Amino acid sequence: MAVSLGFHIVFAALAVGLPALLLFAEYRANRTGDPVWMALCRRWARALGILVAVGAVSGTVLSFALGLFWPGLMGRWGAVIGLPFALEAFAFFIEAIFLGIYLFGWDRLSPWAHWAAGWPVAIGGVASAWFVVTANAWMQTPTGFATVSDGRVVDVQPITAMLNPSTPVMTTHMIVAAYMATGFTVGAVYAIGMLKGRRDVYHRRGLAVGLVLGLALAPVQIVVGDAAGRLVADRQQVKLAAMEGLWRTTAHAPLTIGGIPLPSQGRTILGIRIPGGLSWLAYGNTGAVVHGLDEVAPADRPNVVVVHLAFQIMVAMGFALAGLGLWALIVWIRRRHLPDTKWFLRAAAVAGPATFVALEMGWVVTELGRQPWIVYGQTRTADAVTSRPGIAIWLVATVAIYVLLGAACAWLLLRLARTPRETGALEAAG
Amino acid sequence: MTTFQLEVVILVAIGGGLTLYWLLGGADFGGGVWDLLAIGPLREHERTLISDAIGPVWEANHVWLIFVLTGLLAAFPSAFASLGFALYVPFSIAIAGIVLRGAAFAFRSWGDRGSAWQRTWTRVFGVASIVTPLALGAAAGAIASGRIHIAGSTVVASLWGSWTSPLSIVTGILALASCAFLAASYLTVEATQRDEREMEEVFRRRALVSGAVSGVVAMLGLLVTRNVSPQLWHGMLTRAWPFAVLSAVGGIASLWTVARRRYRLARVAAAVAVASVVTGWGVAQWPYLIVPDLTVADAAAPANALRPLAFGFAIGIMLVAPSLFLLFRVFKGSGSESDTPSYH
Repeated sequence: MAVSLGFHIVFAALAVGLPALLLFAEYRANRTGDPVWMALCRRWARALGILVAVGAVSGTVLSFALGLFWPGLMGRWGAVIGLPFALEAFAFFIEAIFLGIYLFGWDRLSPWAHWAAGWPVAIGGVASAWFVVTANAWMQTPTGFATVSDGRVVDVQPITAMLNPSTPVMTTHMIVAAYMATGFTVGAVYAIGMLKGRRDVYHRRGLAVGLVLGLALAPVQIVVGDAAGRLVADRQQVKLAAMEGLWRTTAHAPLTIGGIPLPSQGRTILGIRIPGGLSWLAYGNTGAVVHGLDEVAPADRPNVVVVHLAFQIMVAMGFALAGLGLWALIVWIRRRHLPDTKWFLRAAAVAGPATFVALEMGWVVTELGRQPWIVYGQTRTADAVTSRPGIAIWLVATVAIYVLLGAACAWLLLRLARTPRETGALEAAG
Repeated sequence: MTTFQLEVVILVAIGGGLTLYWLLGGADFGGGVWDLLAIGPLREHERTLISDAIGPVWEANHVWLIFVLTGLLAAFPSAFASLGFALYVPFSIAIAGIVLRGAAFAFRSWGDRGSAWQRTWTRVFGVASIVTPLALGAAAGAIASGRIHIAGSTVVASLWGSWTSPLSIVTGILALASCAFLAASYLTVEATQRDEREMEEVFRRRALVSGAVSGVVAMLGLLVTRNVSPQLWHGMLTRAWPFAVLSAVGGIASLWTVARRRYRLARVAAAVAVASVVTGWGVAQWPYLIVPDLTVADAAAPANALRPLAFGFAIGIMLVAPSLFLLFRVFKGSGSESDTPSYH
């Protein structure tokens, strides 16, 4: 399940973000009649076709997997949290239907009707992401029910559950991340092309469109991420302590940047410490008390080493991407064009994979940080998982299939990127 | 509206989703079956027709399965959890099939014609298209077979035995044969629209063969039901028989119309047959959602959960129905458009 989600998130993020770029490129193409815009649009549409196919099927795995692996979760909580999954199916319907129309309808619709068909794809994608993340948000901060003494769940309120306290921030965080990942990935493809000497208008535009989307959102994501952090500080103190590697409850808690937590010694070494920094970030007051891991028994703590490091990596990537944005902004203010030096292009090429590292790390923090709970404070992961044998086989088979599909998909996309652009221009003309 | 009615309304909606998945998604699997069986000199031609027919619609058709699964999860959570536990193996097989089928279909349109890449993914696409309906059909048979026992929150079901009963074997084969029939009969329409007489004949023949096989297997299914599931048989005789008759009429009519080259009418008849099999199945095993222990009423989520779900279904269907109409109109519309869908 974890592997499935980690795999799915890559395709889903691009499938959510890419339609927006398509809409922009096709709008420009239709307005200006410029074949370069149309070539970009066609190229991205082909990539989207592959990504959504893989994203759709890996998403299906997840809907089955909820029952296969987590009968204890769904049997008990399905009535509370099934609603967003069911609604997600409709959002996905809209996305899939109009994607079919969009990808195969070039010759069957007028240019503007075709462009219009792209909107439901973009909206459906964002809506499905929103619904699915509300379910995950609920697992962090479960609301919308009451439990009675024998453990039964009563007074179910699915709408309340869907709109739980984590929903606004987590859904925003994820959707912004999806757009950033798309922007930087597209940017990276053209940055690599330009580094190889293809510095034509097609590559410049591809780079600019991707990077502007990614770079504009990078600072936004820092603000949203900060809000997400404060929410965790309010609602999931053990998770915050694991993210920050804070072992003891402390007033004036320092912010540890980097560092390696040592569970055996109960401390975090080698980090840079900013006095009072964590208290200030979490509660807006440098003197505030921040709860440490020592407040719960070791059995109730997540894997501190992994969660802390994953969190540090995610934050580092986030700031690095924002830094790249600052670099681009300074150059733009001075010269009115994006930087195109070798070093900037190299940085842009690295930024693509970096956003996915950040995405996966963020997912690790969310999921592993919540452990040992699957529904925070309510159901333990160990009680929800299936008692069926063969989980190990499943895991191996899943990894094998996904490695195969991932490799095949990467090969195809690389091939697509390498196809000479003349084909693209021809496609645009025909 | 009382809880009782609401859960039935939602169950009917889920049944409708299942019917559409069988009719639409099932035909896409059937296309994969014919793709694998394309061996003669016309094989490339057949494959092109199949790919063009499936290409624009398979993702949308596939969502019906997600609709069924998530609807079941939200409205009947204990049934969803029990099935996930009991049908662990066939569902796992189906997942693998679904993933490989979809990915292989998307991948194979790339690469050079006849390249190793394309041959491999074509093979994967075909095999996965056979395995998936078999596994899903067997799982459906298991729900009706009475081999999944539920007491409180404990599910007792053999890892292998629960879905390999004679009934499951019949339903698995029926699923596969009917998917092949649906695909072949739709492909005759595609072929006529494109004015490809040769293809029309090829798929007309295949539709007749697979349709006849489906009919024989369905009758075999009735026989097996009588012998091994007295409870289901009783429901069939007392309540569900009109649907059994209707499905037989639909099945025969679809064969007859294909034979008479009235392909569009055949689609309608096939839809009637499939819808009445699904409805008849539900009516025959009523009031059980999973025979023989879990009733619909027991499995249903509380009214508080069902109300927003029903509301969501209503809005969702209002959005999806016209969109689907548009999709099929653009790609499967009147015969005036003879050009093939292009995928540049």
